[in-house]
Amino acid sequence: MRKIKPLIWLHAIRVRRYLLSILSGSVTDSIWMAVFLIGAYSSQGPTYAREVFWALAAWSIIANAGWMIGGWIDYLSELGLLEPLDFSGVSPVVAAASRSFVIAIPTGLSSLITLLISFQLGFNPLEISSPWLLALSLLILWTQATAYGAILASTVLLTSVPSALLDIAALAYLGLLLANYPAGNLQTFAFLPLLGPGYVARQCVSGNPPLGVFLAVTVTTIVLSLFAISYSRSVEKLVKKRAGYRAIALH
Amino acid sequence: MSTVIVSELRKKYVSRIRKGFLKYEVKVVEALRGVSFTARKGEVFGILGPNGAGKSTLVKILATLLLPDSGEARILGYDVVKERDEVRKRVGISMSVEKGFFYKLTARENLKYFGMLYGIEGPRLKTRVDEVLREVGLVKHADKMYEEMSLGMKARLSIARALLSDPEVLILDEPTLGLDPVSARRIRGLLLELAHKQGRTILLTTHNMFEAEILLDRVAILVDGKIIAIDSVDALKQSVADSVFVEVRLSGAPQESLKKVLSNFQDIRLSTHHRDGTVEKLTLVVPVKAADEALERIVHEFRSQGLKVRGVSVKEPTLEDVFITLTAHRSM
Amino acid sequence: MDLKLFLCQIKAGIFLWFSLYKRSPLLVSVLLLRPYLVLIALFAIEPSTNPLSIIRNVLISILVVSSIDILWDVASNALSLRFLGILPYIISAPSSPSLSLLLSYLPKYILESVLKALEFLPLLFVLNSAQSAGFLLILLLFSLVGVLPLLGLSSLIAYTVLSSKEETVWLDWLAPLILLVSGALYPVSLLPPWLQLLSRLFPTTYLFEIIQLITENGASAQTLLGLAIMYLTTSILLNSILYLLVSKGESELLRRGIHL
Repeated sequence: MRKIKPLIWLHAIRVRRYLLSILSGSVTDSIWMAVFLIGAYSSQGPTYAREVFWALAAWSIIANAGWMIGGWIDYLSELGLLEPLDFSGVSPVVAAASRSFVIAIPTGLSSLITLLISFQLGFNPLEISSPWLLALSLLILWTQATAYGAILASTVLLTSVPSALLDIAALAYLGLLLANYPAGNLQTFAFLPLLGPGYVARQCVSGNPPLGVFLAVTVTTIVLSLFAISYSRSVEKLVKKRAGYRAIALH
Repeated sequence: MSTVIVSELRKKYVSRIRKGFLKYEVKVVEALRGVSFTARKGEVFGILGPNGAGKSTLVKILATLLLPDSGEARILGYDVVKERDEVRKRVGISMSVEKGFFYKLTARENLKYFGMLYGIEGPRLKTRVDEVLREVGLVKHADKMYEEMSLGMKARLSIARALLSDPEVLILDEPTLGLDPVSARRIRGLLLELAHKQGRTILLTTHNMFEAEILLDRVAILVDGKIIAIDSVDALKQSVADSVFVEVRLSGAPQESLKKVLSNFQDIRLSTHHRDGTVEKLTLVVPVKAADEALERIVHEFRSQGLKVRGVSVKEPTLEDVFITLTAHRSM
Repeated sequence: MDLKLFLCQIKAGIFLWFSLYKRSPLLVSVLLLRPYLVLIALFAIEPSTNPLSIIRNVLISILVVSSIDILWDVASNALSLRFLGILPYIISAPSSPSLSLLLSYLPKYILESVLKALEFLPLLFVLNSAQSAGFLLILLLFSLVGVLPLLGLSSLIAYTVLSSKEETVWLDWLAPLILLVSGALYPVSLLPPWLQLLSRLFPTTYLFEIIQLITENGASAQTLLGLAIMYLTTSILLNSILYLLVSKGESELLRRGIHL
């Protein structure tokens, strides 16, 4: 816990110093979100577009977790910071995962920009049936996304493959989250990591999801988080047992 | 014959420091303030200076990696700004001993890649790669991945790359930084051979005085962007020959007493001060004219303060002494 | 421009990427997965089971991946090379800094594009075995030409990113904008008039238009030739204009030492 405070301080300062990077990331996300939102609105109307908006917000959380947490390992490696962090008692994966709170900024900004675009198109994504349940599902998704980011970061350390290539979730989940799912099977889909809370969030827009689904997503969250913790510890142990921290990517 | 001619080089860095919302303070750092010197064929020319003196800025300009604000520099007759490509064909550079190579490539592959990038190809490339690896003693480790190499090997590889295009001039920024004595000695031996036997001009920066004394034919001392002295090592030592360097060894000397004694000396300056356990080693700079009397006075003053004098000796000024003497009035 | 040096530097790039890839089979496998993921994303926009429509999406996914990769990859790699201390040595090659950097990475983009094109061959065969060879040739051609038009822009982005001393390629929002304006995602006719005019200036617009026509079987050879000429003309014009800005970027880079 003592180590978390300096990490949070570090990330907070860096948000200020690298503001342009954060803002541009938000703009990029919002352009992609707008592209899909416009398609959804023009093909299937405002009701579907409202759901798609929140599916895209969910996607933004997953995508940002992927590159802000997973991608940070690449960055730490290039700067030669993996070993100094380890030596100071901080796991590089934890250092990267502690960026989790920063995700709120680009996600919030991109969602806000897309919200404004929605108003321009003529529909209001804030007309939600169950706003508190929606917020809860996004919070659960945020936790799962952090775990995913940590798993990605650990896999980068293990394989030396850059996170941008390993991060298939960002690309694949864009399509999957927007796809039609049978609402009656939500209880089953809720168990799917990352997708589950995304679908639950969509359901919250136009209806009230049964509370049972929250049990399902909570179970998945706990399992995923425990897996992320044990996986990252095993990877770090293995890496140190082998040849230590190696260069990542092709460099 | 001068292979490197530098005339009135100037360079400043401008940075903006945020002071509030939309408020900035502009900070200007003058890294080079009119630097001029020449270096000859077959010479190892050193640029000595404390951190922040402008050494790296100077070598980067000569290496065509940075543009000066004003002034001129010519290498083998080519202007480093206007005839950059011609300069690059004739110069080899090494900016860092432990970075600058692809981790996932072997030593040989790294050299091959950079060789091709610099326009060397075909059988000549293979020959040159083998030659430079042999020259730096890395033949046995040629197929080792860069990330698996020791620091000494990385340093040698960096010099190997600098030699690839068979350059007449080598520009090296701290080539032995962080190396163990054996590796450092090896590099120094190599550099001396490259200059004295092969006739290449070597420009290097260092703040290792010991290395500078062994390696350099001529030295320029750079402080705060200006060259304050430029000559051979022996001549620079001679320049402080109006002073004698007296080394005093004391044991268990309290700092207060030491300060009191030193404050009593009007014409004697403190050059260096080392502590080795409880033993204080002071080097005092004494004017030659008053040397005999000064030696007596030094011992007497220390003893009168109850300080145990374990030994006094007169020593030849080292380059470090020269450096400190020359920079003494410029506080860092 | 020294032709011998130019060819030598291309060889350096080819050598570099072959050497790196042969050590990273896992990375190569993951690389090949990405175009299929882009395909899935394209299906999300327009779900369709029409074979020609799928083939169109395949062609678009190749171009999308190629052009997106170029735009941010050059800058992203410039940043990494700076952190790793390699950038000064690429810059100090006896040619223009942007050329040395681009030529070191161009073989990567071409090689990856060709590999991605080849991996779609089984899918093309399943969808339309009679014309699969033809489609493959088109794919290969697109994978080669697709990387070229935005090279100048990618250099400019690299310099801008290096100058700003940020930690990421903060101009990557240009990529989806260019795709939108080029008609990769939606037909250009849906865009406002001023954007439609802007789209005519982008070489990628003509490439996506060619894909559209080929997969709708409505293209005459003359039309295709016309589009190809427009593609070449706009590529040359855009890169020529950007070259002037890139030269300024190079001077700025050397003046400020931002690559060091």
